[in-house]
Amino acid sequence: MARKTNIRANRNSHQAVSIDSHAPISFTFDGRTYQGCRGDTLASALLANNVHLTGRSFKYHRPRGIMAAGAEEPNALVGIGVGGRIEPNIKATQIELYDGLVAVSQNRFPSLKLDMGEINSVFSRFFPAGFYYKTFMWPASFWMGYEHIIRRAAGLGKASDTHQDPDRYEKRHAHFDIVVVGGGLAGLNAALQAANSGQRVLLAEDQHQCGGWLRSCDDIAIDGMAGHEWADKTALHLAEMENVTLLPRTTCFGYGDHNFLTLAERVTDHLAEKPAHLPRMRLWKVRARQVILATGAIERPLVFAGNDLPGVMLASAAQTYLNQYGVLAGGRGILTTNNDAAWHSAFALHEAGCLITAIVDTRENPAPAVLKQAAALGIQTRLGAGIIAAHGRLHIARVEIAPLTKAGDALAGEAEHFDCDLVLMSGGMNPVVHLHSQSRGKLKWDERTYCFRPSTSHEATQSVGACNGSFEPSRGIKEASAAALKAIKANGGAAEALDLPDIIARKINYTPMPIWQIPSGLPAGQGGKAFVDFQNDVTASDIQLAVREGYHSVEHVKRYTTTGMATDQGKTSNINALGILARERNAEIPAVGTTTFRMPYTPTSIGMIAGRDIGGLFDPVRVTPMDKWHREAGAKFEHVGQWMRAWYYPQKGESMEEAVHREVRAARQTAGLLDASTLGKIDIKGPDAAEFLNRIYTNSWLKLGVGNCRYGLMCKDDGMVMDDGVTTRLADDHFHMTTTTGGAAGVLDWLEEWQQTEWPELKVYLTSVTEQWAVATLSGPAAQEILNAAGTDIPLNNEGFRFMSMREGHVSGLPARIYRISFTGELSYEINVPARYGMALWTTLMRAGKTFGITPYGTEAMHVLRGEKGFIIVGQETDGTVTPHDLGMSWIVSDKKPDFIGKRALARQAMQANDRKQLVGLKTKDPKQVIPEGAHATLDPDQPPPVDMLGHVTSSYFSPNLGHSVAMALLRAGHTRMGQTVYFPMLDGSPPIEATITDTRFYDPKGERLNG
Amino acid sequence: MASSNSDNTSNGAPDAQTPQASALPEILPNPEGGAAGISIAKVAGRTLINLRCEDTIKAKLEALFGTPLPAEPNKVASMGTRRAIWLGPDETLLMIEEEQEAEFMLNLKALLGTAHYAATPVSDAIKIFRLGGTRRLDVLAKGCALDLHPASFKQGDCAQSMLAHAAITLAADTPDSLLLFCRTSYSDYVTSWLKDAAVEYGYILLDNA
Repeated sequence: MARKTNIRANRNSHQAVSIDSHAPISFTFDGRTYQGCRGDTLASALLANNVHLTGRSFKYHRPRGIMAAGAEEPNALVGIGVGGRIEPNIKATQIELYDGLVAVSQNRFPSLKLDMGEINSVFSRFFPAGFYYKTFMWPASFWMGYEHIIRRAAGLGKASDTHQDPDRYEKRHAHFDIVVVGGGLAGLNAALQAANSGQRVLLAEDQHQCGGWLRSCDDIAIDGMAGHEWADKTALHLAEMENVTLLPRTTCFGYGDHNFLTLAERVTDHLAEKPAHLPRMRLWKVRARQVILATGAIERPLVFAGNDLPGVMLASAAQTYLNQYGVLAGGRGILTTNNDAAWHSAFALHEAGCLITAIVDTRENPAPAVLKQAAALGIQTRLGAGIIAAHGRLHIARVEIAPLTKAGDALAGEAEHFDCDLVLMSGGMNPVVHLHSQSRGKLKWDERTYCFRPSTSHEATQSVGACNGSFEPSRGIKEASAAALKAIKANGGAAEALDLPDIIARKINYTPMPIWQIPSGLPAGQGGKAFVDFQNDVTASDIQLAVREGYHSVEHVKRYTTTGMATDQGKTSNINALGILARERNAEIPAVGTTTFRMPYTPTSIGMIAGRDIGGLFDPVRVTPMDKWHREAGAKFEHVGQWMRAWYYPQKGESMEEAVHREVRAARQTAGLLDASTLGKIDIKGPDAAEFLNRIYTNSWLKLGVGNCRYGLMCKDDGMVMDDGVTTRLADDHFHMTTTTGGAAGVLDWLEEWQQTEWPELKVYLTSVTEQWAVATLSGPAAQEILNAAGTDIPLNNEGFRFMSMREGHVSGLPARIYRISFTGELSYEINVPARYGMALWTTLMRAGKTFGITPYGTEAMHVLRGEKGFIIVGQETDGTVTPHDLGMSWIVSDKKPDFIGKRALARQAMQANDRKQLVGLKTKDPKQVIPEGAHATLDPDQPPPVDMLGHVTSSYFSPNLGHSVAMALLRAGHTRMGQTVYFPMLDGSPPIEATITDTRFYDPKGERLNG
Repeated sequence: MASSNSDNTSNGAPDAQTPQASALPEILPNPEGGAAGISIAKVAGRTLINLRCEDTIKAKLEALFGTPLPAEPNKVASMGTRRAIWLGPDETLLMIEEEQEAEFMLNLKALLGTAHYAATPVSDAIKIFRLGGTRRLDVLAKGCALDLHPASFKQGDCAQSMLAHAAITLAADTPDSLLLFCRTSYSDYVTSWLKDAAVEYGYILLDNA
């Protein structure tokens, strides 16, 4: 299949196994339109159009091009998309081309070819490792200014700041018996064998087609087919199996505890028209019983001066561009290597039409086979030599080659110059051990292949093939098959061992020469820059400098120089950096150690992690059965936990203050109606229920009569108030407890814990009935008349239905429990009906109360009404450090009971100290002034700082019923300060507010209004 | 007026809808053709009773309920339209026809007398959905971490878990459908979430099943 060249392209008439050359598509890069083919990556399409320069480097703004062909690419980072779809810093090697793709280069101004930031390169002598640490230390007060400049210099691409991301992102959980990561030769074999057991198998492949290196090489035949044909056939077979899930375009980027893997599936990124119903990406949260990693290997660059010029490329990448995409990356190339494998890449390019003018090997004795083939092809060789410098402005133009000493640490002769437009480099192979390392697997240094490979695993995981350092194909498939059989067995299954495919592959010695930097012949720091970490612009001399300055630990060198800390996580740089560090320290690489790989393996979209937990689905909103009525009445709402409660009901033109004052007045003058459905409710049943409550609450419960209600306060075991509410005895062995809205779930857990772990001998069952009941609280002088007007079979007269009791019956025909309890201080009925009748009850009461002036009131008016009465709200007057005594509620703490939760703590000396913060009331000197909640009290407003603070205001309102403001505060020794004057300094500089300490019962202190 | 912890007042417009009120329609055809991937049906006409008691008491209820209540964790016992769902070592959720509630409760009281148990009606506190359609498990997998594959979550199994941010109980009820239970106040969220999760498969909302 010849690749048609209908564009000004250096496409080659070579077999291109990953593209459809009959499907040309167009795209733009920096505003210019180019043609590519379906199946191309952006990188291969750019190279096909002879575009090598793709961006400017991070620190020195050096021109950079495409160096790799996969996830390891450090240079070719581009921005793609338009509007809300703009995404910066994407590797051009990982973007699957689609028609109309828009890509831009980054980190350049005004243009890629002429970049102002390149001046950093001229002054690079002044930007050594640790530049920021050294420069911006002094003076300390300048940091705020420096930071702005540094922030602007940091980062590469720009995110969309004005548009909302238009795409959907999905997340899903999945469970598999065996997960295989990587669909190359080893991965496909592992998946085939695993699937044969009938167990549930997932095969995740990063690219859109399986095959891995099989697609890039042309010298492996399997079962009589070309390697890539076998890969396609095998993938098709697997995809058709019912027990196999094959996910192409899916990167496993995280590997956590308990074989929990996170995968990013790119669903529509490769489509020009993105179907609206499909997510752009899908986050797979996979739990695997067994994992097989077959993630392959990455070629290492060599470190020499000018090794970052566009046109300098990994040898394997050049071969990938040729065989997969039919693209020759240059016309006149030179290979520099320390191993045999890369020679074959050079041969492949040479045979395809790129003239390889020289092969430069740091070793003196490469395998006879490659020497023979080079001679046959007429390629001259330089053995025991290296490229000591590469030259060119925006592209490689010339290299200097010199003989090296046997150890490779110095020049051993004069340099000669070669012209070229392509340099292939190879420093050996790095197994992709990232996932193994993420899952806390250990690494060991392999002296045969000079790389780190997996040793012990922490999870049920096995590494096979190249990622295990087994670069030979025949060895890789044996490992894969054995690993799959082991995994099947570990899962308790069984499967026949499949025959291994018949592989014909060239025999290659994969042992490279350990050389981490090609000497330049110049003192360190002079001559051209030899890059170790391309993405973060870290050079070999930066690492040398770090060691000279005393940074010896690999962790310190990493952070000081930032090597390996870019978004590529040092995929191409880590081993070279370690090698140089070891050399500088006169240590062996294993002794220097390595850093741990962290997730994500490749950068991952935040949108995918957010998924659909955005907008209306960000957090559940719980609503009461009467919610619709409140909304139609124009209520404003407030969030109370996940509940949305009606806050106040503004009438036309009313401010919040006016609305709340109207509601507060109505509740005292006629009647108010509150939706109290959100209150926590717990059904407590069992012969020991009363004893159970007696231990939970601070007061006494044994003698509460059936049908009666009692207010209770519960403490944590530290004696601090935890929750409060009214509990009613429904029968001898049966109680109905209410809790605060926000505390409901916590209180039920608390009660269950004590019952199950501390008092299992108490026979009590607890059941949450919060949502079984809808509650409307009718409060005010007209409450009784309204309830009668609504129609009830419960006699409401004060003698028959006393305060703090409950009656069961009907309201307007609805089955109801009415609790005569009050949080307003007015005559008040809390009417409970099964939740399905909540709306009916509400509308009935509103209708019946119309002529009496019934007024719905929200949570804000509820706060003011109880504030007028000095009733506490747990969480407002308390904060986990407040005891019942501090609240002035010693009356509710029984001293007769043998025990209750918190009793021991309350008896401790510090709990009885009289200088604790205690709850008091406040009356401002100016009755119209409302002290801000949270304001701090002081006795002397003129005291110079540090000012002695007494405590703070917990609740504060203007009381329209009293005509003055009311406030409560927790003040040190507050109970002994009645009548004292305190001051509240204001943050805005206005004069301190003056107030007098009072009792907290502001309104109707004798409680005479409770009976109407 | 100092106490204000709400941020939903800035625009001055009334809160006409809860934030999660979904703009999605009642029916969304399968965008790739064929039947909707999931059907979401509210189950009405059922009474739910939360039963707390020990195994000895459970055993006494076999005749009244019609079949032994599940003793094994995470199992459902079925008898016609009745279901008994294991929630804990001493907790079972009973689902019976609504018209049988009064009689059932009377008989239960008579049968158990003064024994220590709690049978609490919770029909208003819990909403029941029946989920059908070929993609129902794919939809649930987007928010529920459990392995719901039929090989692992078999007919007659039940489990308590989360669906996104809502606590749910699931029961593999029939070969073609699951029962989903959630708190009433979360049912709008759950419905909106299910619809949104099913955008790629299509969905249909049914009144009763």
